[in-house]
Parts: sequence; structure tokens; C-alpha cells
Amino acid sequence: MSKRDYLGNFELMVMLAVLRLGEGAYGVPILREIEERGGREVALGSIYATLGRLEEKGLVSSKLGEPTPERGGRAKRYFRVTLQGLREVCETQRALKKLWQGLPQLQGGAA
Amino acid sequence: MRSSQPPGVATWVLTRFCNTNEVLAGDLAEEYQRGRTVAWYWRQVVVAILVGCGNEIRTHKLLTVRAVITGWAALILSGYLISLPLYKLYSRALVALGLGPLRFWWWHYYTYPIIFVPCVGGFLSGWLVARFHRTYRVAMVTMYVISVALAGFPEFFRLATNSVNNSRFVPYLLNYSLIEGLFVVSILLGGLRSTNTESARSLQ
Repeated sequence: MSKRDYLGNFELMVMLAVLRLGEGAYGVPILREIEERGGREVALGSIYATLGRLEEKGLVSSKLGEPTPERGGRAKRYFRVTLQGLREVCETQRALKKLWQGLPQLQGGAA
Repeated sequence: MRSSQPPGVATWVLTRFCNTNEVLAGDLAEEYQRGRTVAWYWRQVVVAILVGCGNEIRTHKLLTVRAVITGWAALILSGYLISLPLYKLYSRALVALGLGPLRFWWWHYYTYPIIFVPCVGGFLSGWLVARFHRTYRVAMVTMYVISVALAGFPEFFRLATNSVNNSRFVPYLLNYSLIEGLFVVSILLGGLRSTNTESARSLQ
């Protein structure tokens, strides 16, 4: 069996948020997406640390946007999921589905 | 009334101590203007710095070991070359002035300056660690400070336990805590001094 790293819980959440946001994926909307849909408070620093790690692995790419006045003249950094990243998300989903199936404790969605 | 500008000190701390500073500071400013609290802003800054340090230490383990060794070597060397001669000189001066030998810093007001002598070495070692590890200086200085604090913990624990059993030890505990606290602050100031020097140079 080949050794491979599946995405961690938070990494997966960040990747899914970036995928959902499409072209407008930068720090603030990613934070909101995770807080609203994930139902947990997260820190922007943790999101950037995770995105940095994912970028090193080649799963996301980023580019700097234009500076805006409401940000004190600071630029946004936009992220998008690469093809390799998309494959990794699908692979993690497949693995999780297989583990999920046939567990009597999780029948009906209650755990 | 709440200002629309994010807390200046927190922004300064963030841009000074965090590597993803500019983009992150922009995001935080944007969120703050949309109604987040000052406490939220500070919490984000602290977490960003801690997470950044943790990441850098995890991805640069060898560099971290080197930084800790550099700090301790500088500390020991400065102890022999600066702190010890200064301590002896001060002690001799007190004897010459008829004020008696130096025993404890809290003996009298004229012995108070002696508590700052180890801080000279602390400041220099912090400065050197930051200087030799410029890209990851915050993480490296933090790790070095943690190693210093850990080295001092057994003595602190011994004095704290003794103080619980016997109040006679409380002044010793306070003395030790004050000296250790000042020492840690001096290391951090040394690291900060290095950061300031480089920021000034990059602005020129």
C-alpha cells in the first residue's frame, strides 16, 4: 500500500471554503464561510498557516490583489484550489465515505 | 464610542511579530470595520503570532536547536565577560565605600542596581539570536526564552513549595521571580532591538 497523506480536518474545511468561494476566496470570506457553515470560531492566523502549508504542498495557489482603503491600503491575497488540490479533496472524501459506511453508531446522522 | 480604526498597538505588534503581517493586518482591519470587537482583534493578533511561531519552529527544527544553543552560549560567555566582572566591581566598590559586602539585592537601595547586571547578558543573547536568525527571529527568540524559563523552573518550583510550607521563603521566591522576570524581558528586548534596527534599515 502506498504511503499518502490525507487532508486533516481543518485543511479540508479550508479547501472546501476556497472551492465554494471561487474567484473571491481571500482571508475574510474564508473565515466567514468556515464560521457560518462549520459552526465554529476560527482565527485568521490559523487559516493563513493552513493555506501556507497547502500552498507548499501545491494544493492551492495564491496571488496578490489590489490594495483597498478599508483595509488601510493593504492588498488582499486571493487563493484558488489547484487540480492536484481538487484530486486530494476527492480522495479524502472517498476515504472518509468508506470509513463512514456500515457504522451502526452513526445511523440516522446522530453520533 | 468605538473607533473605526483598529487598535494601533495590536496592529504594531502584528506587523512586527508576524510573517504574514500585511495581508493578515488588512483582513483584520476589514473585519474590525464590519463590527468586530477590540477583544476579538487582540485575540486574532495573539493567535496569529503563536501559530506563526509554532509553524516556524516545527518546519525549522535544526535552526531552532541552533538558536537555543547560540543564545545559551552567548549567555554563558557574557556571564563570564560582563556580568561577573561587573558584579565583582560593584561589590568591591561597596566594600571600599564602607557599605559592606554584597549579599542580597534587597539588602539596601544601593544594592538594587545589581539585579540588572544579568539583564545585560540577557539583552545581548536575545539580540544575537535575533540577528543570526533574521527570517525566523520571532520564533527563534521565543524558543530561546522558553528554554531559559524552563531552566529556571525547578528553582522556582522549589522556592514556591518552600514558601507554601514556610513563609520565611516568600521574600526569596519574590526575589527570584523578579530577577527571572526581568531577565526574560531583557532577552525579549534584545530580540526586539534587533527587529527595530532592521526595520529602520529597510526604511532607509
